[in-house]
Amino acid sequence: MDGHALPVVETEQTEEHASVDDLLLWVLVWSELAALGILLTGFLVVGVIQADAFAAARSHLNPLLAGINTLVLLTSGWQAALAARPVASTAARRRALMLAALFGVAFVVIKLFEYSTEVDVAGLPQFGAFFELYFLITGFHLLHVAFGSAVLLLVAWRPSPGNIALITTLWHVIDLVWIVMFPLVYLV
Amino acid sequence: MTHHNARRLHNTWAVLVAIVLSGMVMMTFWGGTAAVTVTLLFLAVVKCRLVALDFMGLRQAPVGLRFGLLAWPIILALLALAKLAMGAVPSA
Repeated sequence: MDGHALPVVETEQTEEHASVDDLLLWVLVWSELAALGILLTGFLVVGVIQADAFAAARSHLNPLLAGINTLVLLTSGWQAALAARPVASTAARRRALMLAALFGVAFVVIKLFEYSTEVDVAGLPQFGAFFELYFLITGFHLLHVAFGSAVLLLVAWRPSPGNIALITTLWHVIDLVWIVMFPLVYLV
Repeated sequence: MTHHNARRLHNTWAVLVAIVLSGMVMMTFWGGTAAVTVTLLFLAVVKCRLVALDFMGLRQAPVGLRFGLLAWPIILALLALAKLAMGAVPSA
């Protein structure tokens, strides 16, 4: 190391440089989707078995906050997509990655506030296993958002094409999971 | 993966926001009905499609990758519809 900053993304990077269609990335993507898919399927199955308890528990959730969080996460995903464009300048990539992380943090704050309004009723026996599964599934997703936001900031600091492609692809997967999780947990 | 230009991404984001806001209006005024829940499940799949094809840049990706990723929300939405249908059938 000569003490100079590491090279960062240049505007002339080609599409091939930013390509992320390698096997490991998609194995990671599908492992995430499989894990969350199994959890959400389990939630639906228990919801059939404990239909009345789930319906009663669901009335204590706040779909409006969840809707706002959907907007927040989609806006974050939009910024992540802007950062992944090969033609974007390094400054534009950094700005977009930091905004994506900022919206990720906003999602975490809103979700934690929502939790604070639900935790008092979470232990009541009439709600069956609803809140255990609710906190497990949404908490698992929330940890992904929190960790992903930190990685977005890290990559904004050192924006190499490979790292940008990796974290933005995973970030969009986290987005996809929330989009599906919202109606399944709050409405169905 | 083919990343779109900024204008295309701005347009996709605007469409996604419009879909979410329309869903929130439906939930506020007609929430709890099966019709709204089915509509919101359909809109969730549409949102996933837009995120995968435009934000992830998979519009020109291999068919298997594209449809594989879109199969995930579709399968879960179908399972949710099955649960709704089971709830609609009166128990003996």
